[in-house]
Amino acid sequence: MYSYLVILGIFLSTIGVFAGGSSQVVPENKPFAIGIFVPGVVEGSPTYEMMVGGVRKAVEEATASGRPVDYQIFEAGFNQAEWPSSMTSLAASGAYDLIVTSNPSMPEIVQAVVGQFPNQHFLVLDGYLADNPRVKTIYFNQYEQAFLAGYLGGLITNPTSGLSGANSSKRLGLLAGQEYPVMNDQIRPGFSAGASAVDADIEVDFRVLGNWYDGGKAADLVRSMIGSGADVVLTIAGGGNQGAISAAAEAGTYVIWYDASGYTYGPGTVIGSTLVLQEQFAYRATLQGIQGTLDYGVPEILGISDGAVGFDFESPEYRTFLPPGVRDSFELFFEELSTGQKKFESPNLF
Amino acid sequence: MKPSNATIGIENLWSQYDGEPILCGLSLTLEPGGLYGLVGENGSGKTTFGRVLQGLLRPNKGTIWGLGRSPRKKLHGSVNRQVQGVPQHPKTFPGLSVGDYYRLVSGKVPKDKETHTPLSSLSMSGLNLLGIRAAIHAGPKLLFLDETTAPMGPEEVKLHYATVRNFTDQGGIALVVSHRLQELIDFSDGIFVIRHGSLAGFFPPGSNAVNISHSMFGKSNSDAVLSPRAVKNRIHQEPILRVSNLSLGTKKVSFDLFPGEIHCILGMKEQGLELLEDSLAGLDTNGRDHIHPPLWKKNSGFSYVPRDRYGRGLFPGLSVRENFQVHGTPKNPPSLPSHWLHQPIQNLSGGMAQRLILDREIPRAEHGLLVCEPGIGLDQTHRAYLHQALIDLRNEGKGVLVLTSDPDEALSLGDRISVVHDNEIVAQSQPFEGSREFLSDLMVGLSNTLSSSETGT
Amino acid sequence: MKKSFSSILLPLIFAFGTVILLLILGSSDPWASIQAFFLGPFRNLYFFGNMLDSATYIMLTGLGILLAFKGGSFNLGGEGQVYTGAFVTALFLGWIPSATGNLGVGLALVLGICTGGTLAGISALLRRYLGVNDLISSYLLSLGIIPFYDSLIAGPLRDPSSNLLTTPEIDRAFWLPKILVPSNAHIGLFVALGLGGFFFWLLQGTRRGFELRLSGSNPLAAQLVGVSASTYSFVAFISSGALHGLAGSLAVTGTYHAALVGVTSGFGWNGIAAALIGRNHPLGTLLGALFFAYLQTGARTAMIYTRFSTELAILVQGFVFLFITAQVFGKKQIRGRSLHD
Repeated sequence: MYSYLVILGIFLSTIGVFAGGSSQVVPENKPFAIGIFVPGVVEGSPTYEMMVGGVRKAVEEATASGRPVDYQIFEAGFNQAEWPSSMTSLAASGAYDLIVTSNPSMPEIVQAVVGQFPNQHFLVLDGYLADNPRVKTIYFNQYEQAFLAGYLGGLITNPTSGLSGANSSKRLGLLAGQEYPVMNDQIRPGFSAGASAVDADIEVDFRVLGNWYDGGKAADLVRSMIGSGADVVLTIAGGGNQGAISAAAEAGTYVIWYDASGYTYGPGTVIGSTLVLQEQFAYRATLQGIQGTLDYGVPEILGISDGAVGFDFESPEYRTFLPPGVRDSFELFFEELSTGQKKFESPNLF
Repeated sequence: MKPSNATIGIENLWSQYDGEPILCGLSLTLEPGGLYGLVGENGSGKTTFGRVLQGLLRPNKGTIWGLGRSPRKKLHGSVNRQVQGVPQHPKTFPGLSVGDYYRLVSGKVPKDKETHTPLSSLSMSGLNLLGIRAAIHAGPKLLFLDETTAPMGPEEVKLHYATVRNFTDQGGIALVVSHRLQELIDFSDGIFVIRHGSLAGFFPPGSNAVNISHSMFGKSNSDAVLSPRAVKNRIHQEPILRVSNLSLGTKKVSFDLFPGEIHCILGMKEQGLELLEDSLAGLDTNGRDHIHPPLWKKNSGFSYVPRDRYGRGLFPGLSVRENFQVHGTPKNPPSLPSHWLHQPIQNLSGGMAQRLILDREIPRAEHGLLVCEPGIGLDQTHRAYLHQALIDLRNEGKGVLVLTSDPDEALSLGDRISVVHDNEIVAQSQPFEGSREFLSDLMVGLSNTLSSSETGT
Repeated sequence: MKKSFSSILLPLIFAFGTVILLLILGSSDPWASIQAFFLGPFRNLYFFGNMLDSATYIMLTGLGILLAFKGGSFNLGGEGQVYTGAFVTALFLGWIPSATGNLGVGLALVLGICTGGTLAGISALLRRYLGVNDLISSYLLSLGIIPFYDSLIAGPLRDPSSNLLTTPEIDRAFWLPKILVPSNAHIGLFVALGLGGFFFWLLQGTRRGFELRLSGSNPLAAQLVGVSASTYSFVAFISSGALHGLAGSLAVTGTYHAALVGVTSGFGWNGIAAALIGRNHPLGTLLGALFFAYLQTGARTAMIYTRFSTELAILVQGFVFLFITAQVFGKKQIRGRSLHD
């Protein structure tokens, strides 16, 4: 028992030593501090890389123009049960003027936190939260992105598309890691609507992997979809995407990638790649945040015509593997959407 | 002088265990082609010698010639391949086949053997024979067999020695430890006797078993303390413990214990004492119907001092004081200074631990006490304390049943001595002049000397 | 005295040494990182409260591990038992009307205790009647049941309105009262502390506790002195599961207010470490739990205040666990110097 007390004593005195050294003087010209909360890790996630890239660019620009800015990346890891308390910790530290984060699940977490810390501001990308004067959300229209993917899928699955992997049935596949509100209310209906815009007879085969990592099971699901006639599959399954590619490659059918350019994961199999151009919006909003001009409390929903949702036309694979007929129709369609010549009605997203 | 290459010479071997010397300058020479017996009392150093030969234990001092290395230079944790040892109970693993066993021991499998037979289908004797064959197959220079004949019947014993002889005929050397003197006399080329860790004698073939036995147990130094003991008149008394037809292995034993006596049951290792202890302690449930009263019950009036003090009598991790209070008595051990009380029990020496158990168990011995191998590892002081405690208990009119492998202990304590050999009681007697030789002959199975010993008295 | 001192202190010194090394290597401003790590948990009420909150669960699981230890077995299924308690509690409180209030919470806690105990009870039964090693069976049961709950939470029981993998949040009427607002700490802390005191009294001050310790220390010797070692070890193992279940139940009613996937957050494993640091003493285990929670919180604050990324907390805990187990199991266990020859 005594040894415990001795250790406790040592422990407390150690703290005392450190405490003595910690009485820092707050500098007059305190730089603007940004905390980037990553629900997961940055490495290997294009979405988070774009967020960090955008913030970094804004920081560099502000610093160059004479406004000192510090930023700190906080990776909360994969255990989502820890995210709320990690976010609260970040806010509780009081060390950051602005916390930037990105994920559809973050608004509910931020909402629970924001009331407790009356000076904390948040910028949430890829999420939606209205009417909070200290939270800015920028949502990327998932219905539109899915619509785009569905339209391309519809062009390809058409038996006359000229693609060798397209079969006679008019059927697309959608593989989801899990069912969640955005998936059920936006992506899935958007994908179907996009396909129907090509041909009302096209059906969508929707499957759920149940997690975000099981490539083997993803491959099985995709094989099964291919077996029932789906020749193009939109895959939104995290680590499971690799399984979807390998199953499609075996069968000679196609995969559409989502959120970021994915051609290099399976050239010839990944036949298209829709994009969310998060970086430039993260950059723009962060810079406004630094300058004090960010309109907190006003949620934005951005889509194709805003340049926030797009398609990777640049990669060479796009030209190599898609026949000119399909490309022309798709590019025309996209052009009309982005210039606003053509419009389709998104359902009420939130 | 350095012996020739084929000969194995052991020179002045010393080895300690826990500070206690086990081998004390052992020297002997083994000629090629020899099949030697190795005998000695329990604790005389036979097994330790075997472990040193196999390279499993590093001796403190000494040289072994002829095995291609000095035992002082320990090979890095590896055993000496030139010496193959076979223990009395070879280790087996469920699911292994005979072939696997060969591979394990010798690294190769003989072509002519039924190698798929599972080990679990073999008898104890069969397993021992397999152990020997596999060891020979590994091509050693020296074979060390530690009581491999113990589970064998007469025919198996013949087969055993034929197998070993076949090995020595090809120039190998075999050293066989056995408690059955007669088989060694019959089958070996000579018998080494170890006593207190050094060579007490070498007996060529045809030697008298009695002489060997006396060499094993030494000159009777305890005869002097022998004096006729007052054995109470038992005519009007009922025994407080009755054991009838209790199975030990394939044999049965019956005996009893009266109030006011110390009854010693004497036998060598693996001759039945261990089985008897388990039955009396209630651990072997098959024997329960043959023991009255059931000693293992709390209200039997008996308490128990086990042979394995740490395994059966003490609680590691608990303090000395807590170990003393296991029966719920809120007292402190009487014979220990108070600074010991809160030490973990592991810090006690063997002698102090035994004293703690005695102090704990004796007050509970309302009718009697079962004590197993009480003197092992004790120095003079603790042994004297132990013996006095048991004698006091006897004098209070209680019964004391002592299971021991030490003839001197039996002689200095016992009012009555029963000798166990090969799982049966071969004789019962009271101590008498010259009974030391008599008892030690019985312990190694020389029952034919019974008459000569008796006529000698 | 000296021995036990060094055996607690050494792994801690090694652990802190490793932490400091990691912070120096991985941080652009080592001094700030080190400060953030060691002082972070005391910097404000929020961190301090969160440390106590983590400690609450580690105390309970640590006491559970300790109890199984004392009975001579090893409960390696803590994670699954905590999860069971949490899962059942969230389900139950989602089902009953919120008007039941405290009664509902009480029932939920009892349910968590019972289900955690039941899961451990399977292993205890397997050991008692079939001789199955409970270390292995509890571990495997836990390993198997966690994905089962995960899939239920991610599937049919999922809160359809949330983007997280979680069951619906329980009604506010069922939330345990908070202490040290705005942190997560709640009155469950007092339950854990009280139970620590209770087990200290039980093990050191009662005959039953003494017999339990006898059973765990040497079952054979215990049997020989008339103590039914197998019964004690059986009951202790179930109680161990019950404590884990309680931890899970409190995690839902006190901190998380729902069963999220991953809600156990390693409480089961950290409990083992706490019991080992506490050298198998109930009060020591409470301190061990505090120490572990301190490490966890320190790692988190170091990540917040300084440029130190990835899951440092896990790394640090892993190192501490390694050093402690190396200390405890690495040295030769003296269990009776067997008689030679």
